Amino acid sequence: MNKNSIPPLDYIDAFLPVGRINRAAVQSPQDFSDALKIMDQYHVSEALIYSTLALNDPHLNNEVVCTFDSPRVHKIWAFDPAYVIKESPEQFLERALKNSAKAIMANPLMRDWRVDRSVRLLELAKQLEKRKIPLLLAHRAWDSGQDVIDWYRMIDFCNQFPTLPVITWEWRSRANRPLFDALSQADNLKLILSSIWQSQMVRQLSEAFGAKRLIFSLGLPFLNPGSFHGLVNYAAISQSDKQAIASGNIRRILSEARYE
Amino acid sequence: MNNPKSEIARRFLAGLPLDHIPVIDFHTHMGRSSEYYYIPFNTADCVTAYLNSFGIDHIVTFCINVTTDVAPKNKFVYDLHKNNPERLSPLTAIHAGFPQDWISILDQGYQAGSRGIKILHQYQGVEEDVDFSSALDYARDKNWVALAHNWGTPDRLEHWARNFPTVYFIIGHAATMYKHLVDKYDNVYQCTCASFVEGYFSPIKDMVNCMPVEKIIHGSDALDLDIATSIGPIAFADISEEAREKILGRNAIQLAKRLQRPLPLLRNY
Ligand SMILES: [Zn+2]
Ligand SMILES: [Zn+2]
Repeated sequence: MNKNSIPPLDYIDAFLPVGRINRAAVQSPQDFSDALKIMDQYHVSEALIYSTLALNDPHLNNEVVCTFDSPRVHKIWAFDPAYVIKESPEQFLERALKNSAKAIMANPLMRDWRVDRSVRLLELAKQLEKRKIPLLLAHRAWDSGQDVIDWYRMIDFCNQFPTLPVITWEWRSRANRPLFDALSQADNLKLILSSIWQSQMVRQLSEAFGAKRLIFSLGLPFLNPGSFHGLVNYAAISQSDKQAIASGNIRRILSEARYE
Repeated sequence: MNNPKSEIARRFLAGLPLDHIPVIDFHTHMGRSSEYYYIPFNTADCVTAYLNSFGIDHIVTFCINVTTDVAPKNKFVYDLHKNNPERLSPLTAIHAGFPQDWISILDQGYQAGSRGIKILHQYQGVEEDVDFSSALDYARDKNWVALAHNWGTPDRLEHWARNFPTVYFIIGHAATMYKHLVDKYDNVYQCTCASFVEGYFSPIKDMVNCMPVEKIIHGSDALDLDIATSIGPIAFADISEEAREKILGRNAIQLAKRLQRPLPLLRNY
């Protein structure tokens, strides 16, 4: 096939925020109509969407995303691990699914609770694993974002729920040695691509662990949304691996989840 | 979906090399390892293939991780240059904590074909007010550039730019805080490196709006950052195609001509 005739990749943003946040990129969507516009502008056909409020107030996220309505958009609900909350993780999940949530997120830096020691998160993970509903662990404290994931803890957590799709995100996963260790020891661990900024890492991670580990996102709210397509489509990997990263991997995860 | 009108954006979206225009990358690092990470595909062959995939004609490059001995790290870069002078030009990194080494380090660089000095003192455990005069004095009659990760306050950069008019100062990362100096001094240039990290560095359009576009040059920070992170924001920026072409390569080519050391290009554009 002529290089010029390769069809463009189909992109899904698996972690698209709506709302204001410290140090946001100029184009980061502030409301839902902005989000749809940015998807058009940056060639994203569908998105899993959350409110930036999710990073510090899960309950508010869940109210806000209920107002987002488009066939191109899938809702992310956020979970609060606070032990004293009366609604059980099972009841929470039931309510999320009734409101057509497609993934559940939690922020372990909200602040400094541990995914492997939180009673409620462990219970939620059990419920999610039964249905293979993805858990998005978005690590963000307002004052830190680089290398904030404890990858060795992540190995233990993933191994406790080996068929649960666990997707991690942080502003920048710069330290790659612990990351390699985690990917080598937890098959169900996947990364949002926009945490990976390093040269040729898409090729390196795909060769060592399989392209199924990487899931595309534009990089909002913090990064210029015109950057990460190139990490995929210039990578020295096969066209089918590129398509998997751009949208195939997240499509498969969503199609394997049992939401009913 | 919108179809990009820009040829640069069209190619970027398709993963095609920008081989219809000259592309220079003025801020790159070469090495095998840093404290932060192992560096994948760091060999000369891999780097060349990587540059080819984006259609990059030539890179200005220096070592990575300069918290320890810089001489062996510089040597790694000089060797790459020696084996492939058509594609890579080196800068010489100095350690701000060891000024007694500077002249011999710079001499080694000069012998190896260096085009200037790389400064990264924020990573070298020294105070902001390092006096770089002796290093810049060495550079003044050599048609060299001096590229810093961060020059500190505009007053400090102005002090160097005024006192060393034959040294060309490159502001290493995307910024607008030195815009008056880029405008005022012939020998001050602004690099686009890391512009995609918008909360910390300036977006492309902000820079184009407030300084002469001819003074803005493209840099990626590869092999630290992926080259896509530097080309994408330029490809999609709301600026003219002509401005994109200038930033991606033509401005750096002009700068090298001013330094009387033209950059080799892959073809006649
Ligand atoms: Zn830097
Ligand atoms: Zn750099």
